[in-house]
Amino acid sequence: MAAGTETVLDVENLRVSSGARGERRVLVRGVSLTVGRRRTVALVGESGSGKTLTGLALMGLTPAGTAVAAERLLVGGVDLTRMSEPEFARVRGRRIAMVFQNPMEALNPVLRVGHQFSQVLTRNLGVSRSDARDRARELLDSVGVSDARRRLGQYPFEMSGGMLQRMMIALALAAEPDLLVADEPTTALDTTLQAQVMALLAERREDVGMGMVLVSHDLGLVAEYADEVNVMYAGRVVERAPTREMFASPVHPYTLALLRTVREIASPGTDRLSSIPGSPPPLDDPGSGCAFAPRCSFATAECTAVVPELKGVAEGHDVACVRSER
Amino acid sequence: MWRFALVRTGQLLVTLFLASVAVFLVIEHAPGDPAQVQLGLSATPAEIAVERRKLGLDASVMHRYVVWLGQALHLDLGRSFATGLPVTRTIVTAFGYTLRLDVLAIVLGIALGLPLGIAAALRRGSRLDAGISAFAALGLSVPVFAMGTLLILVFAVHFKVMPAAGAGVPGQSVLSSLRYLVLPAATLAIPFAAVLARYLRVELGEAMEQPYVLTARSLGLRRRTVVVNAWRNAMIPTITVMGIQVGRLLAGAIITETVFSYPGIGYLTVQSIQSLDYPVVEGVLLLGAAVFLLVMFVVDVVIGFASPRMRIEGA
Ligand SMILES: Nc1ncnc2c1ncn2[C@@H]1O[C@H](COP(=O)(O)OP(=O)(O)O)[C@@H](O)[C@H]1O
Ligand code: SF4
Ligand SMILES: [Mg+2]
Repeated sequence: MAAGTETVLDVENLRVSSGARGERRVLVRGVSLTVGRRRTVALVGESGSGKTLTGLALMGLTPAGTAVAAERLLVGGVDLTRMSEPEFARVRGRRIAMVFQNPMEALNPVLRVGHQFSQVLTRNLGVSRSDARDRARELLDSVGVSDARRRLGQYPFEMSGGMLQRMMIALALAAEPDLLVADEPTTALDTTLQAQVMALLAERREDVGMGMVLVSHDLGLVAEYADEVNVMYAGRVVERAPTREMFASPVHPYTLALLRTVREIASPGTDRLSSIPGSPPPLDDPGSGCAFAPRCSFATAECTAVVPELKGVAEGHDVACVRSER
Repeated sequence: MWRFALVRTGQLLVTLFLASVAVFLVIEHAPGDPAQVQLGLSATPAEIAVERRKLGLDASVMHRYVVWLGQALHLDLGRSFATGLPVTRTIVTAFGYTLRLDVLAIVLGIALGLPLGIAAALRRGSRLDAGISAFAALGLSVPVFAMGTLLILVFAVHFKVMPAAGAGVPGQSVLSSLRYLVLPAATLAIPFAAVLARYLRVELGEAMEQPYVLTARSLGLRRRTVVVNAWRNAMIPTITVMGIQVGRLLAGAIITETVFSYPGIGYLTVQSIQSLDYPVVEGVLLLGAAVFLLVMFVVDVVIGFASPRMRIEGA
């Protein structure tokens, strides 16, 4: 991270587990992230690698029956590890917020959008209902929604996905949080809208002065918008590096495979989405040793013996693979 | 909305017409002779013939139906064979009793079922949830006559705190007429509450798992706000089911009213069928159909308001 940038997220050794004590299964482990103000850190990986679960863990919103632990979890300097649920609820939407993958399902279908803005703004900004109405219009303006008055009187099903995602961004950023978790914010949108919404997020990040955790499986997007990339596989970070370094000199065989799929899609003559053969293991049963071993063309006996730890290979560049340890 | 109301009114009228024909035909083929019932077994064939003429039973079915329909259009449903009183007045009086009973039963049922359903939905899988589910299962599986009899035995016979039967005397105070309502209302309220609790448990439980709940929480909304927002979704399917319950109650709770000898529509239905009192049977059955359709209409309107999607897209 560049010197002089204030840290808005500092999480060390985040762990998400499920099941009762005694038969607890670890789903996500050892995720450590540092995000500076006006910085974007990306989490990438195939579907099912634990990216969403990691984002939800930061929000204290993992599903019932799961537990979150971390050596350190600071958002805007506030320790979230020892918070009761009502205390955590006061942090959400104020210091840390989240934008979800599917805007069509994100808002309550039986309440007018304006009502939902009012609930959030009166709660997070402490304003009266009539002031909330004015603030809602300003916020819609800030995310490029015109005709705000009419929009606020509508229900979610009367709007398009792109419009709704703008609304969600406006709601999430209403109280100018220190950190935004954007979980595949454009995956459900048309390609033309994707660029617009990403540009909006980048712009709002500058204005609000927040840090961003960008969850995505779209490496093109990540290359353009993230400052640092964390590649996740089976609930672990297997490689992390500044974005340019990651794309210029990837090291982990999984990262190499991911990048190869992107290059194949991008090169002419291939219209079929290529992917890495095989599929990732379930989070709660990653196998012994390196979880990628069954799909890795470099795998040796050594790989299944121990779980490789993240180790530095260059300044700010860490890799969890036995090949890079030598 | 007006188009909708008009269509529904048309449906109501057509249904009532068809129901009236059906009721006439069924009664025509029912065993027994009303004149015989009115006069008793000792009546001579000649006396019965006279009585039949008096009751208008000597004319053909077709003729009787047309006459009846003509009067019915003026809300005149004829006179009871048994009492000679106008059927309309008899039915209105009985419906007044049923309405009173049902309002209390519905209020009690909601007061009991709503909190239980919400509590169970918010703590699914807990011991509290299991307890509530057990109560609901019991409330639904114990037959109404058993529940009514049990309540009579405990509160009227053993503790003697409530009257066992009837509706009291005319002109009594509100409080003492309420005393007659408590046990039958409780009998009706228990299964009502059980159905409500069960539906809410499922519907609210599912609503709480919807993505919009996660979003609302991610925005820092209070738990109470989140639950109320989800509840507004859960109520839409619940309203339909509860509407059917209300419709069934208003059409006359036959068993409960009989167990408590409560002079409502249900009791009147049984009485009139037993005495082959054709005009009253026709009247109560038509009232039942009308009330049921009316309640369903109200349900649709309420759902239209609760569900913006239906209101706006007319889906
Ligand atoms: N309580 C749980 N127990 C076991 N597995 C779980 C649990 N919760 C989620 N998972 C698993 O976690 C995975 C979801 O990970 P997720 O974070 O959504 O991945 P991504 O966002 O990278 O696609 C799913 O495969 C799901 O089966
Ligand atoms: S540790 Fe072995 S199996 Fe895992 S990525 Fe490296 S080489 Fe492949
Ligand atoms: Mg995901």
